[in-house]
Amino acid sequence: MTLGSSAVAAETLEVGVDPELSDAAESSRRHGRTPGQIAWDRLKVDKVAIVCAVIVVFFILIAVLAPLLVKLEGETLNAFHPELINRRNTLPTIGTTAQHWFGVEPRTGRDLFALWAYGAQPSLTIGFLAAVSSTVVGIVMGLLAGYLGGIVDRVISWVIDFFLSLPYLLFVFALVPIVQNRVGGGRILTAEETSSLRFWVLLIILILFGWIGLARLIRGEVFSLREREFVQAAKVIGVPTRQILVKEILPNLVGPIIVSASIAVPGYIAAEATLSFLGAGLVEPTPSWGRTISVASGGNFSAYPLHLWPPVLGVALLVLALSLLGESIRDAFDPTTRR
Amino acid sequence: MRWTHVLAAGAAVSIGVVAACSAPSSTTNGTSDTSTGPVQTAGASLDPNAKGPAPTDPKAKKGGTLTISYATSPSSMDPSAQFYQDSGAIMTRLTMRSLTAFVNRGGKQVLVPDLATDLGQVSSDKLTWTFKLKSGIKYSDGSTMKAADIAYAVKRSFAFTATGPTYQVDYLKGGDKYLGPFKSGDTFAGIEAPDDSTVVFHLAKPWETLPYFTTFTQVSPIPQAKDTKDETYGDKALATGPYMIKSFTQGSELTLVKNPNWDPATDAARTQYLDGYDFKFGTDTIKTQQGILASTGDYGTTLDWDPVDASFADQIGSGGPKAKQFVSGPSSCTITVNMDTRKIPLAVRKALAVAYPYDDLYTASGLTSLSGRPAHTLIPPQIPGWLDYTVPGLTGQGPGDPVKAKAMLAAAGYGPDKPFEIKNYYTNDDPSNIAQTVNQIRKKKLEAAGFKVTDKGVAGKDRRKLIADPNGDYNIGQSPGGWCFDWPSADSIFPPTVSSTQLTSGGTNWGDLQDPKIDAELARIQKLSIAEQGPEWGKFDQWLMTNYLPVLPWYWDRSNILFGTKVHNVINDDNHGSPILDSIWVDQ
Repeated sequence: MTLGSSAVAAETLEVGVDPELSDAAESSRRHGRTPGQIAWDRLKVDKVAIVCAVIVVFFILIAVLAPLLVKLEGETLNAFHPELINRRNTLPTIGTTAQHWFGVEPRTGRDLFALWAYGAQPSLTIGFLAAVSSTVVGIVMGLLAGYLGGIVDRVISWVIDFFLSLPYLLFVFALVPIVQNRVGGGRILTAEETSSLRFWVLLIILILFGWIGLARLIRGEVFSLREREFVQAAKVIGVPTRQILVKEILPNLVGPIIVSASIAVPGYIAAEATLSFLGAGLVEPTPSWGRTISVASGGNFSAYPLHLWPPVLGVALLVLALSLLGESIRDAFDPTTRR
Repeated sequence: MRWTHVLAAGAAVSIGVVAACSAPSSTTNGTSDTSTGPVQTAGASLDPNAKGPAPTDPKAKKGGTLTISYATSPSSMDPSAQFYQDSGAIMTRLTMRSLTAFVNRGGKQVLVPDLATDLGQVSSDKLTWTFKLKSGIKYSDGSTMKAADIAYAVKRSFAFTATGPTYQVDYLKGGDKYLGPFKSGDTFAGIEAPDDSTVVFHLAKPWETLPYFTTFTQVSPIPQAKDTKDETYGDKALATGPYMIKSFTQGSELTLVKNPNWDPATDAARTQYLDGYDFKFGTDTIKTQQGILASTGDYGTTLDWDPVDASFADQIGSGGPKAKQFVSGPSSCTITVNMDTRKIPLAVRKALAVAYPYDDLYTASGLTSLSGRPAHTLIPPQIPGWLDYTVPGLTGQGPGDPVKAKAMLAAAGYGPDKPFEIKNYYTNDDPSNIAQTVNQIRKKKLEAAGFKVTDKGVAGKDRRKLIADPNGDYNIGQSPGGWCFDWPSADSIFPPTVSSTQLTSGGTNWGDLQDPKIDAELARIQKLSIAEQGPEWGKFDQWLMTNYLPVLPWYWDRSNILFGTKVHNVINDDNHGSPILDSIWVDQ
């Protein structure tokens, strides 16, 4: 009896104490965690996110270490090897070798590994630079439109609607030569000048069309935030507008911003590849996956598929990994998702 | 004649003109490519006494339809406006007869009378040519042809010189001022028809090769009453040849059926084996060529004259499983690399010739051994009088020798501190990326030889204009990037490419030459008779290249003809780079 009752008591005691203890510990921890930390904790245990992050890091390493890797292979970028081309059908006489890891390009004999490794550089650079820049522009425009309202809002909203009404691809096709001509000062440029100029023109155009979505999102959020008590209170006690925007409103928008930026990166990488594929993107001698795909998908594909596969897999894997990663980040930030 | 094929190269090419002579490679089936086969020479012979009917192939089967499927399309079927390989082959062989015509005799092209009874009679001052016409020639609608119709057609051709040839403008009396019957009226001193069976040409200067020009469709009769006064006349043009147009839709299809009013007894040049021809324009080259190689269904009786895709090269090459379905032969074009002699000194031009990476650029342009043969002279071998000389180092092949070129540049006073600057335009919007990579290779190779290279990227459509401007900011690569002869005599090559008239009239030529010594030499040779001219042109070629080096010969373009297993007797016309269409017959 005693035994039994003491056991029950002990159990009750345990049951009573334990939850209390853990509750206290957990709540003290929870109180100190920002939404960012919660998201980070969630991400750390998300297997998909980790695999994707590894893939992304792999490609970043390829891009950064491209000169080193190509040197290791014993090649240089854009070195032509016509001696490796069969003059009868313009196909390479070799496949993958120790000297040419991915073989060589039909017709010209350029090393395909060098084209692939260096090709990761502009893709990633444009992807991240455009994402960061368009995010910054989007935040600023969204905050201004949403918070100031009135004429500022109307002007910015009009600009947003205007850009949304433009047919994107068509417009880019028309714009690339015009911008290039303007920036180049109307001069006829050499291949190298055109190539480096195209990089920046492409970046500018992607940013130009990239900030709109985020700006609209932020504007809507700010509309509801600016009526909240803490913002009103800050206003009443005379906190300057800039400080309200940066200190009061912006921290509440970190979630949507990070989500939007992380989903934008693969979008820009795909856009760069698409435009280069269609001929409005990067030009020789800057290597580009999109352009290599365009050249390789011609008649020679069945005879020499090695030309096409590396850049296709590169773009596909990188965009897929970044998209899934963006998805995971979105889930991690979203309080309504439970897995 | 103009080139139908868009050369797959930003390489260099904007071609002028093509057409007529002879050389063999005419085994009935499968003269396939041998990459260094001997080039044969052939003389264009004349046979003023040839009579119809033309000899027929005893093995030939009658009937059936041949489908000819290729990637481009003639812009019209107007005989006055046409100056292209494809429409030229269709009209001269099938629908349109002219005063004279070429026939293939054992691989040799022979000039014979066609609508005329002989090859023309020239007056003692060489300024009047008289042609007598055969009697009883009828149009496809049954009406009778008259000499006035030929005179009218020649006048009409002056209205279409923007797309058509311009020889008549240069040579016929008053031709430089006459703008055709629509603008200048019917009065023209250059041609007359004194009666129904006589045509008389009046010339401004002697023209020994006029009987070659009279093979052109611009000399095919057109009854003035039926003329629509624009290129739509070609859609329903009255035929004099063995076939006539049933329907023509620009960009998609041309159907030819037998002409009931064609009398083989009057025609020494053409045969009529098939029931008809079906031309399909703008078709997908790779798909068509795949189908023809497999010869399933209609592809068994299909022919394609597009350049064969490199991926099929192994199948149709000599010894390949499909070698019997392929015929290749010379076209009439010499492709070259042009230099500006006003801006590049001779010593530097010689160094450039040594440094130039012919082979690398050839493969990078996507050209295979089926596409051409390395050229070392400006006159192609099938022209009578061709002189087989070699300027040392000028072989049209090899990877270029940067070390030797550097030494030559140093001897000419150019070194690392003072490099010679090469300027060229290149196409930077070529969707296949070929023009851009070709440019990269050229730049790298020339820089390795010690040149400074300023490559200027422009859109393809702009480049054509820029390189045709004699005051353009370039010193290599101006127009023309090659030349296709119009008839088998070098007088359809040299005056049009090196005389100073091109520059004085605001155009460019080989080397941008404007040299009185060259002009005097051209004038001297042009005064000789056809037979005497031949060897003189050969010597002129060597003299020009040795002393001036205005241009680097690169390759002689070749025709590619691929056909189904049921197609027989396919022979390349070495003067036009197209198959002799009327000699083809099919199994049904």
